[in-house]
Order: sequence, then structure tokens, then C-alpha cells
Amino acid sequence: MSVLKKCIVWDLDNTLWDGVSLEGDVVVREEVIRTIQELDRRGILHSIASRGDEDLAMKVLKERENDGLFLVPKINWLPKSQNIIKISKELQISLDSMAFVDDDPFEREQVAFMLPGVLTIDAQNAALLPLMSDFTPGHVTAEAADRRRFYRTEFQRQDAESSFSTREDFLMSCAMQLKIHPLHEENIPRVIELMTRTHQLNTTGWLLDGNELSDLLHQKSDSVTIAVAELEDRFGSYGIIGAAIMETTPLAWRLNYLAVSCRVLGRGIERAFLVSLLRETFAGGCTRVEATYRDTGRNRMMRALYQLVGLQVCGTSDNDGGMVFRVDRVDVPEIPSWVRVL
Amino acid sequence: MNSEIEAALWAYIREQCLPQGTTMEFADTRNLFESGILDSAGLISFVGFVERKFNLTIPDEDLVPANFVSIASIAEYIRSKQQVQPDPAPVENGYVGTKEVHRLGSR
Repeated sequence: MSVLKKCIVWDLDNTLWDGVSLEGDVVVREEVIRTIQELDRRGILHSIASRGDEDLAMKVLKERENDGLFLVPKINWLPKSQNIIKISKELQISLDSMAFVDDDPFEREQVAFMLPGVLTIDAQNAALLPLMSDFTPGHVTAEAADRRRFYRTEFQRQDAESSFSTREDFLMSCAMQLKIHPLHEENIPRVIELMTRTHQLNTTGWLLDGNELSDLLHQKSDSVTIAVAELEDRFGSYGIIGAAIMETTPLAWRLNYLAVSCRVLGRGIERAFLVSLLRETFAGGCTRVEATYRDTGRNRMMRALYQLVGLQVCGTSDNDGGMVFRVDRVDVPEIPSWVRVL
Repeated sequence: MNSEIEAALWAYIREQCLPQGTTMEFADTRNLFESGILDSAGLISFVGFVERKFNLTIPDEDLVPANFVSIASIAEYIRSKQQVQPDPAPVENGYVGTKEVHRLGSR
């Protein structure tokens, strides 16, 4: 199965528009703009890697009022593979989740050779992109349609950071509020999306479809609890950014699944979410708290998070080669001081 | 006794974890997690840097607060690892370390 693409990097001359902007007037290709707008609605981000003059090219884009669609455009004379690597870093999207559209076969081959994970597409097929499975997520959620705006907010946040003398002061100033509540039926598509898209902060790589999650939510026994976390700060709302599935057995409380969106990395949110769940459990009188983890090859970060909040390996789980961690009440740290948990 | 290690750690933290051009300063013993300088994602990148820079293999089970809570504790951890793995050069006798083999296989 191919990886769902999260970002498309576009060439400009003879791809986004007919003609070469350095050589005279160009005509924007309306069918390409429509494609980009449709994929933007699905939560796929767009950027630019093009040779040429940045001011001139941005002027053409602004005239068509489309500059808002493209994040971190790179218009310069560097090899496009280098620009794609920069875009990948700035948007924190892995290269195998990116696609590149260009009319020039040399540029496509160069990118395919240097960055084998990037899907390269001939510009003349641009209008077909919405039909390809690489660009067709199962559900289009509210979070998806707003994804571009979230990234813009994130850039503002990074700019704001440089004006504070300590990082903690800056984080405090963001006024982060983490709202943790039980899963509601209408959150299911977003949680499925989170499970599918999140690889690093994901304890097991577990994948459910909407029906399975709905069954889990509605099953008679109240031993399973599903919690979601929503984040808001002074820059705006991020929607649902975390999900946890917990099970209470006669012997223990166990965290079976935890995922936190990589969009909110770097501000201790995953720590706040996990610590809140643990503290609440201990406050409810539970004495034995366990959490499962399965190495997926991409989620070492989650194991680090476990260990940083005091969870220690205590065994292996029965069937899937997973590991079981446990923690004692006294070892659970405080919730980060800059996050208010509601 | 070996301030080169601390200097390298500081250079990384300044470059990667603090705003560009900052004059921010704090003690080597400052808790990097409580002060928001590192989180789980930041730690993974930092560990990657330490592994490359000091030619060490850091097993997942070592990613605990006692080893990584501050620049001082990370430096101490690096020194203890360097004593166990004194020099990466002699790889004779097949000694590469079983942990490393395990890590390559599991990832």
C-alpha cells in the first residue's frame, strides 16, 4: 500500500502556469489551481520548488491571489532535491509523504534519484491527482481542511518565540489549554485519521477502522475508556491532537494505545496528556498502572516519553511481541507548568 | 575533567533547542524537560547527535531521566559509556556489542 501523501511540492514555469515568468507574461493553469484547492480541502499541504526569481514569481502568484495556498515556497537556483529536503524539515513531513510535480523530466528524475521516497509526477497529469489513491484520505475531517491554517499559525508561534528570554517564559506566554474528554461519536473520523497519520508518537502502530472504533466505543462493558485531547493556545485551536485507549481489569489499569499528533511536538503536550491520564488514574484509587508499547521502527520517541514519565519495562505482552511498562504513583512527574489541563 | 563534552552538548542545545541568536543561559544542572528545552521529540534528536558525535550506541532502555535530565547528567552518562566502550576502533574479536546488533535487527 502506498503512503498517503501529506505535501505536494510544485514547480512553477510550465507546471503551475504556462510560460516562464523570467521571460515574460505567463498564464496560470486554472485546472491546476482547482486541483490544488481540492487537495488543500483534503488536508494535503502545498509548497513550491522552482528555479527563478522569487519576487517576480511571488508577484504572479499574488495577482492570482493564490499565494496563501503555498507554505514555505522555495524559489531560487538550488537543486530542487535540496529545496524539497528543506521543505520537508520546515513542515516536519517525512520525505516519503511528499510528492513533486514538474513538467521537466530531468528535474523529476533528479529528484527521484536523490530522494527515492518522493513520488514524482509529470505536470501534464496534474489534474488527475485528486483521483489518485496517494491523495485520497479515507475521511476529510475539520482538522484536515484547516491544516494549512494550523501550519501558518505554527510559523507565527515560532516567530513569537525569539522575543522571550527563556523557553519556559515563551511556553507560558502561549497559554496552552489541553482539554481531555471521552471520545464522542463525531470525533471518530478524526481519531482514525490520527491513528493513520501518526507514526512517531504512537505506542503500538495499532490501526482501527471507523466501525471497529465505534464498536469499541459502544460495547456494553465499561472496562474500556477512550479519551481524546484537544489543544488550544493563544494562536488558535489545533483541534483533536491526541487519543488514548485504556482498559481497566480487576488487577490493573492499562494504557493500550496512545497517539499524539506530531503537529504539536516540541512543547511538552504529549507529556502533559500522558501524565494527566496517569495522575487521574492514581487519583481514582488505582494502584497498578501499566502501559503497552510495541516497537514499530519509527516510534522510539514514544518509548522515550514513557521512560521520561517514570514508566519502566516490566514484561512482554502476550501475543504481539509488545512490551509492558509500569509506573508507581510516586514516580509520576508533574504536568508541565505551561500547560493547563481542563 | 573533560569540558569538551559539555561544550559539544551546549553547542547542540544552543543551535537546535533555543531561538536563533539567543543569549539565554542556564546552569549545566538545569532540568531540560521541566524548563521546556527538551521533550520526547527533542530528546530523540539529541540522542542521535550524541551517538554520532561520541561514537556511542545508546540503547532505548538508557533513555531515562537519570541519564538525560540535564547537560551535567548527559555528560556524565557519556563518560560512563566511554569507559565501557573505550574506543570505537578495535572491532576485532567480533566485539561490536550485542546491543548494537539487536538494535539494527529491531529497527
